[in-house]
Amino acid sequence: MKANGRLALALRRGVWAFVGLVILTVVEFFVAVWVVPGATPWLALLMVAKAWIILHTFMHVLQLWREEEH
Amino acid sequence: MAARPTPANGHVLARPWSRLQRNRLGLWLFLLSETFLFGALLSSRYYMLGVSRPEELNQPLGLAITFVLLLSSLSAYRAEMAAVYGDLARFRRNLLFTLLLGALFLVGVAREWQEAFHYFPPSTAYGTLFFTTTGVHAFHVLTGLIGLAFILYLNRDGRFAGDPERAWPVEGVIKYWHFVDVAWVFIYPTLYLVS
Repeated sequence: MKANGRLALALRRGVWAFVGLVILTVVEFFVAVWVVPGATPWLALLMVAKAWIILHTFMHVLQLWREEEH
Repeated sequence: MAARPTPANGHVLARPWSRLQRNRLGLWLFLLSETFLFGALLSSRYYMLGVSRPEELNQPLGLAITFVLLLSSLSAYRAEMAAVYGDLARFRRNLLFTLLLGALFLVGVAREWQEAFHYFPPSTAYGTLFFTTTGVHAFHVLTGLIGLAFILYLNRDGRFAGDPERAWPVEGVIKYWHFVDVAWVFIYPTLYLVS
């Protein structure tokens, strides 16, 4: 795949990760507002999910165990 | 005397790490150390106050600055990808946008502090946790912005663009920026949402 194609793919992946983060943040907000008793475990789960999206997609954490790639 | 291990006599040699891999490991170890700092601040919130929170927290403002920081992570990622693939114009555009969003985030935090001083000053239990945690985080945002500004200036001639090895300075600073976002992913619900 040419560099332009790889860049377009990477940018698209970033947009989808952002959409996922926005959705999870909105869910997080409504869980906190509407699920008041017992919301904390759900919020913890959502925090971990959002952190993983950033670590995996934006920070490429798996690069530590793989060859240099983007 | 035992033969020196080589691929020819059946021994598999471990491939030496490249400079880029060593740089990445070093940065991740640094970010791990920062995790302990934020971990201590967040766990002290739960230890001191459980899951109670004041009603006066400005929820719309907290949500708005969260979106600002998430958007800045997207633009920072786009800037990094642009640098790796040699698209300087896209790199500059996205990095400038990241700087703007980061500054906007700090303005939002300052506005939040203005209200917070009135409702839960630092002399209160929640106040001391709130100001310490958001203050330490805001300091990381500020240093991140300085780093991003440096990279924008230094890479104006494209010296850090074209391939992952050359783009390492960009990658390093932007990974730090993403870490600041990850920290907020935990700080925001801990301070604003749990109840």
